[in-house]
Amino acid sequence: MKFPYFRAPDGLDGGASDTALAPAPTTPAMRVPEVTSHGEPVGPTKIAVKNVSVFYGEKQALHEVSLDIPDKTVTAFIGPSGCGKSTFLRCMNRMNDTIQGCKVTGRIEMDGEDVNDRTVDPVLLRAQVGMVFQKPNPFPKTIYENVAYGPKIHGLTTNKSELDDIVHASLKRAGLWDEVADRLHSAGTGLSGGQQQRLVIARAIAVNPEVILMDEPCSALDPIATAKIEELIDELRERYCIVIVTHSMAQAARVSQRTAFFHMGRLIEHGPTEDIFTNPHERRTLDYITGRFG
Amino acid sequence: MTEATSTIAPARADRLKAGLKGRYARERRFKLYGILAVSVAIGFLVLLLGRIIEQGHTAFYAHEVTLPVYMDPARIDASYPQGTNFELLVAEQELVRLGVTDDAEGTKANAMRSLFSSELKYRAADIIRARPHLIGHTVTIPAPTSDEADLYYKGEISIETPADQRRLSDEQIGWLDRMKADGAVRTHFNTALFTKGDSTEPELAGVLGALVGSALMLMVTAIIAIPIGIGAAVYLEEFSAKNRLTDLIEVNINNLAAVPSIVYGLLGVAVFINWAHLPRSSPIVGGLVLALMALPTIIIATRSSLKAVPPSIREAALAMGASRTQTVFQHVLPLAMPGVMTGSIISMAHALGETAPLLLIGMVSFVPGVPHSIAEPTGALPSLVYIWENASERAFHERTAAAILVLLTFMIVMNAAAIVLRRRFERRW
Amino acid sequence: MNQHTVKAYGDELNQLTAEVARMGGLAEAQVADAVESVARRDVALARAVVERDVKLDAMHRDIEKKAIRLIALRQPVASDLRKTLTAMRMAVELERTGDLAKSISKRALQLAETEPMQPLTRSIERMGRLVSARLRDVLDAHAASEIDGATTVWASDDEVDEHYNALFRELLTYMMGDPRTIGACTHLLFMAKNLERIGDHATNIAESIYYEITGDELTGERPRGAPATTPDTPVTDA
Repeated sequence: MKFPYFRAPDGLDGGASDTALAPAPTTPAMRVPEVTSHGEPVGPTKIAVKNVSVFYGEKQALHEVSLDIPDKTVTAFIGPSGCGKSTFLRCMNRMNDTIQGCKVTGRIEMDGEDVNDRTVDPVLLRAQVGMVFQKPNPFPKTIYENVAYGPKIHGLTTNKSELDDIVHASLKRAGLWDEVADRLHSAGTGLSGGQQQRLVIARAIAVNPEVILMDEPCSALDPIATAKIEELIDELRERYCIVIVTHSMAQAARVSQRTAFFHMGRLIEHGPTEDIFTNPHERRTLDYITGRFG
Repeated sequence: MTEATSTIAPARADRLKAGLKGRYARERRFKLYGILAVSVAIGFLVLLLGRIIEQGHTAFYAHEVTLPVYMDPARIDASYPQGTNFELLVAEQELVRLGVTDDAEGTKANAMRSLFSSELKYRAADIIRARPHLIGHTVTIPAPTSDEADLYYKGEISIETPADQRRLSDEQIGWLDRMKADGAVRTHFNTALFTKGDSTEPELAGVLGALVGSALMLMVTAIIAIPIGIGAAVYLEEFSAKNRLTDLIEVNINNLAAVPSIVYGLLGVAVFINWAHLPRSSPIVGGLVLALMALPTIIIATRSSLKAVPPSIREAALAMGASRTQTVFQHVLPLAMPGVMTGSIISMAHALGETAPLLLIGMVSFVPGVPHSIAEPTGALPSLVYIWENASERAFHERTAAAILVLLTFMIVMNAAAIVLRRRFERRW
Repeated sequence: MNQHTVKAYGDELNQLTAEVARMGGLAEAQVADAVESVARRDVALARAVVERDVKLDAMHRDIEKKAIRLIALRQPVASDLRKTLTAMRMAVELERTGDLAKSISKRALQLAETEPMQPLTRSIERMGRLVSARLRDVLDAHAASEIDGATTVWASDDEVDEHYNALFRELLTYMMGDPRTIGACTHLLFMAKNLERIGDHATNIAESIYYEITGDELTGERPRGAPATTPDTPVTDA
């Protein structure tokens, strides 16, 4: 079983990361023109996507997408409804496997290993790549049990006090600890929408993943909760590679350092967020972000 | 232009208003139909229950006559009390008390004797056996009446009917009246109904045997049908690939749920009794047959409960790195539990009341006593109702209704348990 | 006011304001140094002012870029939007101020090669100090976010005009008295004009600050001094 390692779960003052620097990405055949960076530092490539296509039965949802996603950065996927951005996101933790009739071709390399390889166990992959969904979906258990679930099923702890530490650290990192410290054993579903989403994020980071995927995490939340989540994302990007799908361009502009624009299953343009939103290269990108679409 | 619009607007408002009246009228009519339907349903329910209660409530009490009995030492053997013919003893003494002279054959004594239940001799024998020193003294014994005397006291048998159409002669009725006038007649709760098994004599017949039989059968059914049903449903819903084969299976399961229960009885006879040689009329055979019957219902109820669990829970669990099995058993099934339990309990309650398959596997025979294992022949409540309904003695009439009430109570308790358990589990999540 | 929930946003806004303050400080220094180089006929200082102007241009471009980035990525509204726009406006005004100071210094270099003209350069110095003070006041008001300083500066625009008019008359008289001084006096005249323009820029900045803080425009006629009049009789130089 390939896809070897976990980072050891660290306490409050994070342990050193063991991630080896990925080899420099080779230029695949159909590389989309990249807008030059303006001095915004971009980390080493964490996920290298090469010619990925997705088919639902006969219908092709994604056409030969190639993209490099850097580490310790927030990358945003934007585009109109049905453009394939969520489908693409779900390729990265193989959640598309759960959909009948869905076929993924191409390579998605995470630190050099292709996640679509037959020898890769999706269960282990999903311990490295966490996911946050559009509608907050905490388990109908207590707050403590929600956050403790991941470490428990992956066997990351040996005793209860270690588990307590992990829960504490995760909730603190998610910015939720102060609000729930006194009611860890009450139902997770009793929190407000924004708190639930932060709980879900705490749950995802409790297993210390390398990558966090977020599928429109704020679309069900009010502006204040959204702002809190965006601040959280800003803090989290120092530790994790974050990929966020959003239908709000304003959010992509606020939150991300790199943006990729999708349309009709194709990657049209990607580059530093500032450049995409001040001076994009492609006409379609410009039309979309200025609202001239349709 | 403005003129045209100002004439259009009122016309439109009129049309709206005219339509409105019709719409409200339709609503009122619909509400009326609803209330009517509910009333009819409740009416029938009240009718049915009322009829049964009216017929059956008399079965819950029985009459007994308190008699002073002189324990004649000449006729009682202290070492073997049960050898004494206490019935004759009591009858003769009672005749004397009432001042009736008997003829040579003792027909009047016989007539008197038939006013009391055969239970009487056991009671008397028990008393003597427990306290032998009472021989030679007069003991007051509460003598249970026979079924006909009991019916007379309950008003079922009336002196109005012509003598040859009733089981009690005028003379016997006269005696009964005198005993009553003496104040010797008492009513008491008919414990025999709940403490004894079936009997040919109505006053000694009880539902206990059938109750225990039904309970044992239900236990067997539950142990077989619930795990298999839930397991099959979980597999079909969560693990199996969705192809033509599983569609076919689903259609067949749905059809099985609609198969007449008597067909299951035939299956039970052919497979379990004739081929597997399991004991006829036993709880194990009954349980197996009912399990087969309950299985499709449980599978269907469990599947729909599983379907009702929102996919976001499954996605959340999978995204955390839970395997398929962990997702199902740690997340989906607990959430589906209320529906699953309700389905299971209701299918059990349904199985409890099934009669046709039981009749076929032999539960129509007379089984006295209370069963102790699942391999011995027993009765069941529904088949008991059937047997008693067909019995010739008049007193079984009320007892049938009583047995129906017991059966209904059993089912109500089970359904109530389903509701309570469902509420309790729903609250937790 | 509360902090922004997204701290990076608040940080970016504060950074922008800080940049503007730095640029203002630099512009202020340029003006002061330019005037001093005239008064003391300090050639080195004048050259330094000319060279430093590049920095001001760079800061202007930088602030503009930052402001555009903020608008594109953060979509500021209300007070945040006004703050960003004001920063851009102030950068423009300060850059022009810097250019004017550079021009003064260039002329100072020229002037240093001619005869000193004490009373006139002292007038320039006085006007320069006044203008510097106004610039400082308005920048302080911006840093402290209080409108009183701004409105005071805005209302006292006529002071600068008076100084300018007086200098204008003085210079004309001088020139009419001794035509050999026309060259130098012309430089001084241009310097006076530049200083008056710097005063206007300070007033513009005051208006921007008022807008930033209140959201309203400073309405009403900007107070002006009487226009300069030429003297009727030539003043003879004794």
